[in-house]
Amino acid sequence: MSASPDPKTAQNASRVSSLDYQMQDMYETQSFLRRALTSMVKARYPVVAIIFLALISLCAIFAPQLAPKDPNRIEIFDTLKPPLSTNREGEVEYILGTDSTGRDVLSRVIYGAQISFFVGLAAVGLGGGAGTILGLTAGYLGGRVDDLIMRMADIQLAYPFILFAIMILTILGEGVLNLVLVLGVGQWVTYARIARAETLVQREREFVEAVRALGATEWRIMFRTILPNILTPLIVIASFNVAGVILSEASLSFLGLGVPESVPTWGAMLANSRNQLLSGSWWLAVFPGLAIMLTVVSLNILGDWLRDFLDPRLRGSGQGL
Amino acid sequence: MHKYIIRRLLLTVVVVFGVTLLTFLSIHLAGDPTIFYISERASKEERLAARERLGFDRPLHVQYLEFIVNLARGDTGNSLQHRVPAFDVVMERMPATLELTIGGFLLSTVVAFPIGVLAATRRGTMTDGTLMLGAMLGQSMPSFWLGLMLILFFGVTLRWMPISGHVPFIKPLLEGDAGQALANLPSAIRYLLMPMVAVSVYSISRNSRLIRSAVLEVLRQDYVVTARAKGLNERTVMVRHAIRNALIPIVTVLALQFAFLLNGVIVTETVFSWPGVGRLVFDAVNQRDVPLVLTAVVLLSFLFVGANLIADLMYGFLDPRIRLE
Repeated sequence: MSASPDPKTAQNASRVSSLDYQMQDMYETQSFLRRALTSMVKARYPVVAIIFLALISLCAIFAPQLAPKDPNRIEIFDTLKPPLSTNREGEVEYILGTDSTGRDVLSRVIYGAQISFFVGLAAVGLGGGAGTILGLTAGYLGGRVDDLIMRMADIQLAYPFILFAIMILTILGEGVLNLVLVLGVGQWVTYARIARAETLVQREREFVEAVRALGATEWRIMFRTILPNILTPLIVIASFNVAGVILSEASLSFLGLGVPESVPTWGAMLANSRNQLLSGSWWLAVFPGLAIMLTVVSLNILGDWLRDFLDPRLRGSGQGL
Repeated sequence: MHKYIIRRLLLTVVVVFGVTLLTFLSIHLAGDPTIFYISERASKEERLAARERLGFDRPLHVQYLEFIVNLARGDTGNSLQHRVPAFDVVMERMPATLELTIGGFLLSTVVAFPIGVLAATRRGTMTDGTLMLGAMLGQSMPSFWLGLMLILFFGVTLRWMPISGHVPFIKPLLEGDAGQALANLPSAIRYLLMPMVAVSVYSISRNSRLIRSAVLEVLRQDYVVTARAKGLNERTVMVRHAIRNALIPIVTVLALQFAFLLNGVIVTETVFSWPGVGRLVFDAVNQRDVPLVLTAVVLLSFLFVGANLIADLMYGFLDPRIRLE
């Protein structure tokens, strides 16, 4: 009698089990999405937030199609028109009015969404990615590498961010990518600290030891075994962080740093409105500010919900907010 | 404990060292600062002469070490724009920034406490919902936009408030003229009010949310149940048992807020034309006034690190279980 199993059966068995796993994966994904949807609808606010963010994203993507005018077109005869101004034919020409050079406020607000969204997502991607890798490395390797990375973090924390940003933007000059770089560098510390703390916990767990015993390389242990297990809190932080970065971008644009004057941003629109306040041109200050606030509040509501859904441990820890 | 403080202070020195080095290098990487201090039509010889006069011709490490050695002796060098010691220029502006930061800090603490505690005790009611929605909005509002809205509404439309300007309070106090300070106080507050609200709205919102969750966390603890079971009235339970223990996480965050407020002052000072350090640094960077930027950065970093140190010490003080090593 032969003890060796029929190779064909074994192959079939492994194929069946891998199919099984795929099915199970699919069911789990489905039920995860369903749970997410149910919890979101139950909380109500996140649904409103998502709808608003979807609208703003559409504005950003389809700005050239949606904007009624060229955002940089100067109309010297139509300066400081209040909202709902009509033209000679009696049609409403400027829904949100015009600025001191006659540029259409609505078009500029729509185009402004582009910079806010791009900078917010790109800077969080950059800072979050770099911070996670650095924190993971520091926590996993420990020793001198850990010391070096965490002292760098300490120094950065002791440095008022806005000062750092002013310094770097003065040197690099204006430009969207420079802005992303500065804001990204400003974020890495948070991710590094959380990734490090989580890695310290995960490093000692049995499954990591098991993978190591199987002969996995350090690289594989760090990025394939530990990384997926520390992602949840980092994703929660990232969702709040996009809101924070959009606010920072607005502050920098308000100070006249960041992108060239020809690119409409909400922050720069507010900076220009400051000189027109005394003349009572309230629309210049109100609409871009509302755009910022509603976008940021939506992101914060979404972040709150995501935190409660994914990682209720973080509730009240002050993380992210 | 003493060891801990000494170690933290040593760390501060390391941090200030790192921060100044970073600042120094970034200013010099931005190009030769000399061109900001000569006429556009200056010849090459004139430019080189100016470079030598300002000391920018020497190797960078020599310039940096000289700054550090002088700093250790308390000499910060002259500001290139103002031609007086940079330390004096910064200190001239520091009181106004402190007024804004301390005022904002007090306001955010005083307002956030009742909001947070009220929301926690009325958990799940309309009051809670309204307060927390307000906090969410406040946290999502750019502070400079709130500043502009306040100017528009209370300054331009209603004409109740001055839209810019500053009356000194801390400065006469530091100069030993308490009478003058006291006489200035009412108008100082009047000018401070709107910038103070603008700079602290984020902190108020964030703190009240944190205070709410800290109080809720404590109310779940066994000792609160015990206190209630003993028949203590709700007031005593809240004040003696709940709020006191909820203070621990709150205090850490409050001190960090102080550092955060310092971050916000540059923008707020711009909105209200407030004569503080934030605006000074901004202009000094644009003018490549190396000694002035470095001095301001050193002083601000000290404030920053100091606030964090106080937070850590308070932590151990409020909760004797925490030992600082």
